[in-house]
Amino acid sequence: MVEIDPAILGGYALALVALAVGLVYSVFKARGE
Amino acid sequence: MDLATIDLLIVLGMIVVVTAIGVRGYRVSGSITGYFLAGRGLGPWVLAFSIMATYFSAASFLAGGTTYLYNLGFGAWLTAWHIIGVVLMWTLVAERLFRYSSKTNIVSVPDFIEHRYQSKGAKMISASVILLLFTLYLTSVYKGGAVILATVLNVKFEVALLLLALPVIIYVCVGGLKAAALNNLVLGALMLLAALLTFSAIMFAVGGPISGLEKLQSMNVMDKIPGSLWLRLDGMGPQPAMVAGMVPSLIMSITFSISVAQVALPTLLMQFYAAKDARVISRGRIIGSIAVAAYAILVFSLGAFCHLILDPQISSGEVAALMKDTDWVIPKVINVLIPSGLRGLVLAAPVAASMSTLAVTLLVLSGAVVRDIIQPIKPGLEEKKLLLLAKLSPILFAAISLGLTLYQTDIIVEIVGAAFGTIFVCFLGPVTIGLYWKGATKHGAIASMISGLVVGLLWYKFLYKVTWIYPVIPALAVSLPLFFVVSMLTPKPSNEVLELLGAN
Repeated sequence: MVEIDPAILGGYALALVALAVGLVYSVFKARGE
Repeated sequence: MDLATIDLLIVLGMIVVVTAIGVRGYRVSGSITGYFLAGRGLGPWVLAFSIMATYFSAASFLAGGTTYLYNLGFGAWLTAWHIIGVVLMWTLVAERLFRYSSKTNIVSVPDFIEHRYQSKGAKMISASVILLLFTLYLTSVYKGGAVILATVLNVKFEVALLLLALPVIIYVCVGGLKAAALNNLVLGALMLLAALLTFSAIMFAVGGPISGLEKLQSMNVMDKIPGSLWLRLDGMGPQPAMVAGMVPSLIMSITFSISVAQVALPTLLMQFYAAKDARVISRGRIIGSIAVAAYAILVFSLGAFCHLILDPQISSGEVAALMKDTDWVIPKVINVLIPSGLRGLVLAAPVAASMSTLAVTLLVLSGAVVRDIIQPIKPGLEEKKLLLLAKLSPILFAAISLGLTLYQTDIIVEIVGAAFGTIFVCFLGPVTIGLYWKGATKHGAIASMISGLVVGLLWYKFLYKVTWIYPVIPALAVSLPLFFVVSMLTPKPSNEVLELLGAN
């Protein structure tokens, strides 16, 4: 069982959330034009 | 390094191809706007990949090896901040800057500062900051690419430097931004392909990420350092920072500083002026975010897994040496895992990354001296002469930075170390915040640039290795408050500018 620091996992999670938010915003903005 | 003829031919072939592609920019480089902004005609793919390839130098590819020393928190937070940085750049800065530039006649970032703050002085200062810091920054770009090239081709470092510099000088002088951007599309795609191949090879070798982490957790590096230290943010890092208990703050300050810099680097921002229309920005936003995110996810966390591949094959002394100079971790792993033929393709990536960064940086330097310093001093100079100077000045800057690369003194090493982050600090207030905040004034912008420059360089020289806090953080802590306070106390710019900002 891998025991990985939540502070490290938090970095990867934030990366994915930021990408998802950025892409959703970008796609909606592009569609609106 | 063990390379077959096919690998060498791939690397040399890439250099020939980019030179040939670059010449295609010649037909649009017959005017200042054509030369510096590709005739304002870049499409979404070219723009997005050009910005990505400009931002990622050889250091970004080699940075994959950083977690050979640092714990995986470095890779995680470097990835997170990079994605946040690219999303913020494309969302908050790109469209506003494009619209501002299309309504004015600005060509460079100092041009924006002159128009926004109605101040030739602020423009001159910003151009001087660019000239000083980017010329020195180029030395690190040269070094990263040339070290790899020298190893791949088995030639002297000096020969590799010339092989790296000459094609870039040729295509930048001939084709300007059009040439640089077209090449950056090709080089950026090559970087992504190399990142994918390297990631796949490493993950295949360690049995996938979860299995790799399990093995890392149970191993002892050099028979004494528990692998589990790589799985804790306060675990592995440089020895002095570990002793001081400063590994987490070191990781957070470095990763934040070099990633979020995207929102204020003149080499990136200038390219938004070159978009064909607003739809290019909308589509580029999607392409650019995905490209940077993919590259960061694929590359930045690889080093820790390399212990599982390299350590059984080398001595403890060699492991210790690699942990001191992690730049060689990824090339060594590529040499072990990737078969001949593909190896040349993958090792061409850091060289490609250097070339793409060099090209746009030379253009920005050329713009700073010709458009931002010579033209205001000699306003009567005809465009033909200015254009000739613009096309010749990359040779001068390439020569200066090559000389500085070959004959580095201690003070140059110090400034180069701090240059990248300091550029970000100097332009964050005046450009990025200045696009939004109508209250920003020329005095605030000047105070912010000068204080950012001074604090950034001095902190790096005297306090970085005492506090283990990267200089961008203290430099921002001084320059941003000064930007706001001085702006609030000094007269606002003209209504014309405020209306232009409001209309954005």
